[in-house]
Amino acid sequence: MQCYRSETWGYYMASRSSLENPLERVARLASESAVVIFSVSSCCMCHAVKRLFCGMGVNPTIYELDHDPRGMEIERALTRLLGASSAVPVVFIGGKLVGAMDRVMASHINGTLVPLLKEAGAMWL
Amino acid sequence: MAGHTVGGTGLSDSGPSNHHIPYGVLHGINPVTTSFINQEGSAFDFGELEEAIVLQGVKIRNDEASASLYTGRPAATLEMFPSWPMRFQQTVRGSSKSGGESTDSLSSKAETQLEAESPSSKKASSDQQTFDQTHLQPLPGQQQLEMASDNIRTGPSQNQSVAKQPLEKRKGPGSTSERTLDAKTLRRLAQNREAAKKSRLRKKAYVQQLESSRIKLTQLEQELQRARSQGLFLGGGAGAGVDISSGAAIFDMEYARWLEDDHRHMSELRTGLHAHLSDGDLRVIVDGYISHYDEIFQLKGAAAKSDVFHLITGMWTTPAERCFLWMGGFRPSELIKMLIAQLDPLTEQQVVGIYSLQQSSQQAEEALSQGLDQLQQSLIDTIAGGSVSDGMQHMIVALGKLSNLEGFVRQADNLRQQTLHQLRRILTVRQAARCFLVIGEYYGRLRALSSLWSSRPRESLISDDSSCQTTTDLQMVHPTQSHFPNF
Repeated sequence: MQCYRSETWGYYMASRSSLENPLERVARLASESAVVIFSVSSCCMCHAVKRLFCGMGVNPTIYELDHDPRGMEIERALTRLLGASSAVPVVFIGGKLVGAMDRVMASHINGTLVPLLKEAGAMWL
Repeated sequence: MAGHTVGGTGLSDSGPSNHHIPYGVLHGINPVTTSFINQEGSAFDFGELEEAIVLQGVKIRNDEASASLYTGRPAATLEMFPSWPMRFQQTVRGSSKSGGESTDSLSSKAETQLEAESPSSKKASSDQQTFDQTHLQPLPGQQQLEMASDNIRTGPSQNQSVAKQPLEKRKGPGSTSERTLDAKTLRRLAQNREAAKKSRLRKKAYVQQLESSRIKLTQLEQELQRARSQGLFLGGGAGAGVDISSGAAIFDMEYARWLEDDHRHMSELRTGLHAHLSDGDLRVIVDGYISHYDEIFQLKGAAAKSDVFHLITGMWTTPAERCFLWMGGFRPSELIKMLIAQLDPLTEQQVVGIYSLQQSSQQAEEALSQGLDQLQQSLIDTIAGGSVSDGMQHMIVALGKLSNLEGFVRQADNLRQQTLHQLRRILTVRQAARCFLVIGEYYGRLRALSSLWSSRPRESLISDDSSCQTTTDLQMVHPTQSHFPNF
């Protein structure tokens, strides 16, 4: 059962400028969907964050970096962005960066995640 | 057990009665070893020798004035080597009277035949040896005569009869009657052999166990040495058990200290509530308690880096806590469920807040659990898959995957920490104080339950089928009923 859509990279490669730097790419991709998750297909924590959103009835857009020809660059850029040891999973809601797993969890517990999702149109009551 | 009958150490396995009426059945028998050996022919085997010794021992005991001391064993042990000439045996006996080592060697040889636990049999041997010395000495002359006649009679079994000679000296010449072996004797002797064999095997197993333990000990010492040299031991000799990592040992110490702090915080909360402190003062105490919990999560984070298994298997907690462990700690949604009943009265807004906190923690727990399941599955696939030649590569991949375990424990602790912080936000200061007091008491009781459980009387007459304490109590009231299928 898949609640998310995995985008194919080919479409984007063909139609977008390849001069775009990774971070710009990330920003662009993040703004195109309500909930965007950058993931690696073999990463179990990414699996956990996907399950979290699916369990809440949200359909996030997943980008598997290991399936992307320029995935490594994006990973490096994300690592720098987060200042963390691991690039994935990273969650964007409404085009804005939420963060890695710990930030996502914290925001869910303190009750800020759901309003954010509703605001981005990813969730309805 | 001091005082073994001849060959009786074998009997120690077959029954306690053997020691006290060892050979009552053999009273009617005159165990003439020589004639027995005559009957059995020339082939020598230890089994027969044992039997002969048994019978000899019986005879001697029967003839003894002081029945309390069992005899013949040291002499019997000495007679283990019938190929030795009589004179040599006497000399050996004589020398072993004075020297300790020969006695030991002979006794130990006897042990291989006549089994039994080393210390007791050695003691018995030396007891008997001493006894023998006092008794054997007065009759050297008579003994020589008897032996000569016996030698002539027994022919090929000459050596055995020679061996038996010192034992025989006590019986008069007229007592060389035919000995009849009845079924009971045969059975008993067979039991002796079996018991002796069992004892030998037991001893061998024990020695092997000792050997392997010794090897393991040296290995552990080497590991310890290596770990020390790598500077993993902080604060010199944490005194950790050999099979606990240094990171785990350090964390256990820190956790113990944290528990003591917890008691202190709890008393502060209790007195603060009862003293009806102002909200401001109470807030300080409550925030102090939150920091106290922040501290343990920090410690756990460091411990997860050095020994994640120690955390995730709950070896740092008590058994009862460990039973209900979730990802290396308490399950936040369970804690909230427990608290809901205890936190009355709550405003409607607070109720909504608490319930949504419970729901979100449940969702987060579920997500983490599923992630961990996937990690486990992936690990299993890695370890199980691959050909023999790929072994090392698969191990490397598996190690990489295993390193993700730390991340899950960290996220779980993060969840726990966030839950406590959120509780603090939802509740008023007084409510929060009561809430944390309840939490502290709850885990205190869980820990106490572990201690009580481990110190409960084990040989209860209650069958193990009872699942809860109340049922057990009921059963105790009616002991005669069929609740106890074990009886």
